[in-house]
Amino acid sequence: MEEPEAEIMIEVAAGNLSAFRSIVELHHKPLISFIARFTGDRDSAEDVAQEVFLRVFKAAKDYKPQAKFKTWLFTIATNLCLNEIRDNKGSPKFVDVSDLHEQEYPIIASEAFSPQKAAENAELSTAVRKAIRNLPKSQRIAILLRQYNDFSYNELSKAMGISIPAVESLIQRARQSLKKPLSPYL
Amino acid sequence: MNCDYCKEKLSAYIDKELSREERLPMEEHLKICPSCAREAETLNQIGLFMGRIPEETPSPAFVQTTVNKAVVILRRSLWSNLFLNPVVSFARNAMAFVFAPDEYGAVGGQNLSSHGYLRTFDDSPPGSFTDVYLTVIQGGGN
Repeated sequence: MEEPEAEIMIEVAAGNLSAFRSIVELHHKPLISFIARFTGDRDSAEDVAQEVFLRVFKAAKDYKPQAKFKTWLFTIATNLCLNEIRDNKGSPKFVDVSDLHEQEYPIIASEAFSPQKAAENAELSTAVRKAIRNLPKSQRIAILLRQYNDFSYNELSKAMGISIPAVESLIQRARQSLKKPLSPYL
Repeated sequence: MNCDYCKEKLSAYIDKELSREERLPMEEHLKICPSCAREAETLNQIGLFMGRIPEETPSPAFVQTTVNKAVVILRRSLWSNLFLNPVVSFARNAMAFVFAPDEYGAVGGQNLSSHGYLRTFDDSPPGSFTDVYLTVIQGGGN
């Protein structure tokens, strides 16, 4: 069955701005989150995401419904993120606990509020973010798209232009690399 | 199944990317091997930790500003479709007129770059706009 974006993209290619808006509304949140996690720069994530959507708008005529829209979108995003990191001389920014504001990084805790628990959660979140940002770029792309955007290995292979066994190996190595920095919490 | 192979395939197992033929021996091995079972538990735990990081909250204006920028792109593209092509074809025709060989006095068969590109107007009256322009672009002046 054809995915809903295929029809919407035909409208976008014809210059229909309402169709474009619905594409942005549907995908902006996971896209911005992916970019922020990948680059480690929350401030520029929206700028990069905006650029991704505008490229989608300009290239709408080239979109082929055979390719899954999500895969196409995140392939563009991945390329832009790599450029962003290259432009910033490859140094991802790290989040320090002191930089964290509760409003910006809400702590997920459905249990009864406890200051100690909240502090532990914040510390763990910081450690996870930092560990992710220390991963080599290709491992980072693979694990982020798998974990947060539910990419299958097949979709990852298309988005990253590598074989499925190579994807499997990247994800396995990414998880292994995350083990050490997160060992105090395991 | 040996432990090395099991550990190598653990991520694919956790991500439900193994075929039934691959998965069943893994499940059997994990039941009897505490070391591999512990490793599987660790990798699962890492996934849970990652899951605790919430999605970013985009600024409320994000969608509208993105659509506004698309409007600008759309307008530019409409304007260029309306005007750019006729302008380009006009310019092309004008250039063809300027560089037309022989008939308008240009040096046919010679390299235009060595002659300045308004060669056709070489015999413009002294002091005319074309004469002054040619003097400037050819770096001339007597």
